[in-house]
Amino acid sequence: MPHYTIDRFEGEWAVLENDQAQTFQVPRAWLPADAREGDVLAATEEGQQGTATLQFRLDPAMREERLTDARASRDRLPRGPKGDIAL
Amino acid sequence: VSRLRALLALVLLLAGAGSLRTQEQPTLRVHFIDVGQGDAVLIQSPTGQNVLYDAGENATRVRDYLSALGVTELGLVIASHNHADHIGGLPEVLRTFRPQFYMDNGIPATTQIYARVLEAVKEVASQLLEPTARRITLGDAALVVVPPPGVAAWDQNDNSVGIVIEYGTFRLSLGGDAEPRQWSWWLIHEPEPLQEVQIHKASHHGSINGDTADGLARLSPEAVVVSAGTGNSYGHILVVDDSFANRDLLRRRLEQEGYLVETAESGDGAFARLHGDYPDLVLLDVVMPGTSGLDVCARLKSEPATRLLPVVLMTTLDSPEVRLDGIGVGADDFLLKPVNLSELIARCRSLIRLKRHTDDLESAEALLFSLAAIVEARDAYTAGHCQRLSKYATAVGEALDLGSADLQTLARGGVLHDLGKIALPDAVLNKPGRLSAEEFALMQRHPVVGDELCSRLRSLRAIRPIVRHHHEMLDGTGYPDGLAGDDVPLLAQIMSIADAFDALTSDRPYRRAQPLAYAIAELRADAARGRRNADLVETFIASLKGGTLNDSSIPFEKAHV
Repeated sequence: MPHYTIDRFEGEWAVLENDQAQTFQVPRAWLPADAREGDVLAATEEGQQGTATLQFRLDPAMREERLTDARASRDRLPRGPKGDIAL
Repeated sequence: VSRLRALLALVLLLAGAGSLRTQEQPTLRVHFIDVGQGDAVLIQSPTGQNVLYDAGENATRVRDYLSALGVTELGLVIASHNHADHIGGLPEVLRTFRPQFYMDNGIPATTQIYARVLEAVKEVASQLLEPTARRITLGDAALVVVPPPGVAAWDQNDNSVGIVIEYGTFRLSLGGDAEPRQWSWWLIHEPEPLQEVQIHKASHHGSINGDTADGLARLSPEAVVVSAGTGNSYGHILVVDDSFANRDLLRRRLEQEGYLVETAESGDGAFARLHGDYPDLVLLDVVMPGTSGLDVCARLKSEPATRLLPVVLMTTLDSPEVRLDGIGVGADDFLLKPVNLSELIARCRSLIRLKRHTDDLESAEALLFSLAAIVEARDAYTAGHCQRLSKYATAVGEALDLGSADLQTLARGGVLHDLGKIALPDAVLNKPGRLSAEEFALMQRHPVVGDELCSRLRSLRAIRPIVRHHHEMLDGTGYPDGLAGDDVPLLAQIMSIADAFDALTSDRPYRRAQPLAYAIAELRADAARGRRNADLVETFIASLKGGTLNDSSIPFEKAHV
């Protein structure tokens, strides 16, 4: 199943990012009511034959994993000096 | 708030306070680069250091702008906050200009683009600067960092890194996408740097969710830089033609009508202008040196972000082949050159009106088209299956003299026909052996799933019969509804033949590609058994023989039929 990440909200729209880092908008109403910026969504098809619809579900474990990875990657970067600097 | 558009690259040339502006005078330059939705600000100090604040959603414009200025390296790159419309262009910009220092807001994002930015920072070995209150000196000028609140529970916008540029008595403030909550926090916690400025860049692109009355009162700028919005009723047209005379003629006539017109002299020039901020209509010359108009159109129509952008092809060759090629690559309309200017205005008006109606649907439709692209990528068909189907089906439609609406439907139906396979596990989709009964039942549901997905959008109404019924057979043995005879919609019958042909002539998980003659014999055998319409099958075969399908990927040189 494809995953989408909520990059941000713009009014009634949610800007989603796909696994190729491309962004696109969907109506905010399509997403779970408690979806927040940064949430990772799993898209699945649900319902009976003939009435199936595309559903976005929160994937909190994936969000945590991405956040942990991002934090770790950032922490590993070489640090510049603290305080005032001159370029 | 979304889809704001900076209409012009605004370059402010700011001389040192009280000094005369001369060529030799050291000058602080602040460039507000047009990146469509998003921000990118280049600061050039009087002593020659370059600092970039944000890079827009796409690197091309920023990179081209910097390169045109002769900038080869950046001392510091600052990401105001980690949203795609501010950092999307960063990976490429970082790799091109290799800054010594990189500063972000310290709030990690879960997006792929954020991970890519960090990779790029690591690769070019920039040193990470935390967004703490500090002064970064650039010769006589300085950047004062106004730190973000750093509240992880707040979203990215409200954790924007603020910058005040100081040069003599001149001050300019940049607040990223800070919203009212952050401004309240800033006014309490950062009173020092947030004093009077001459120029302020409106935060959050000038949206209602940006600057506050209190904040602006504190800064009391003499001038505010705002991105202009798209709220106006005029369309935005991109004219692509290698002839200056044609470009100029069209531009002047369209501007007279109140349209905003951009021009490009080549296919590549068109792509350079198609990032982040899209026009409402593209007028495209077919015959140009380099990338042809057909190639430009094909690429626009194959990318989800630009697929619904109306494209009008302008050509002097009113031959059916060019028209067919144009429809095959998804062109919306054609104009014959020399262009009749009244006709031009009428077409532009109606296409832009249509575009306005589809704009709201565009994102939802773009999602379905990207899902279809995912299906194609997962499926073990050789790449380009969907595009080939569009081509085959429109060729048959053309041979049957169908109207342009039906040809469009066939072209788009080719792309979306297998959308419902999104619900199939890879194990079923690409299974090398026979499917079990259970798996086969699952497979047979894909037309229904696809139809349901399309049913959310009125704009896809015409395509739904193709999506739902492209596996029906005239003898009633197909699926999902077991329709028979004339109940199977014509466009679905055409797609079914094209699909069967492409399946036979492509490598599949369970067998190698079959020779063309074999595929044709199979189609005829289906017709003889009453499963397909014999006339349609012959029309399809004739369209292969006629060579209208001169795609190198189709082995029609072997077509001894």
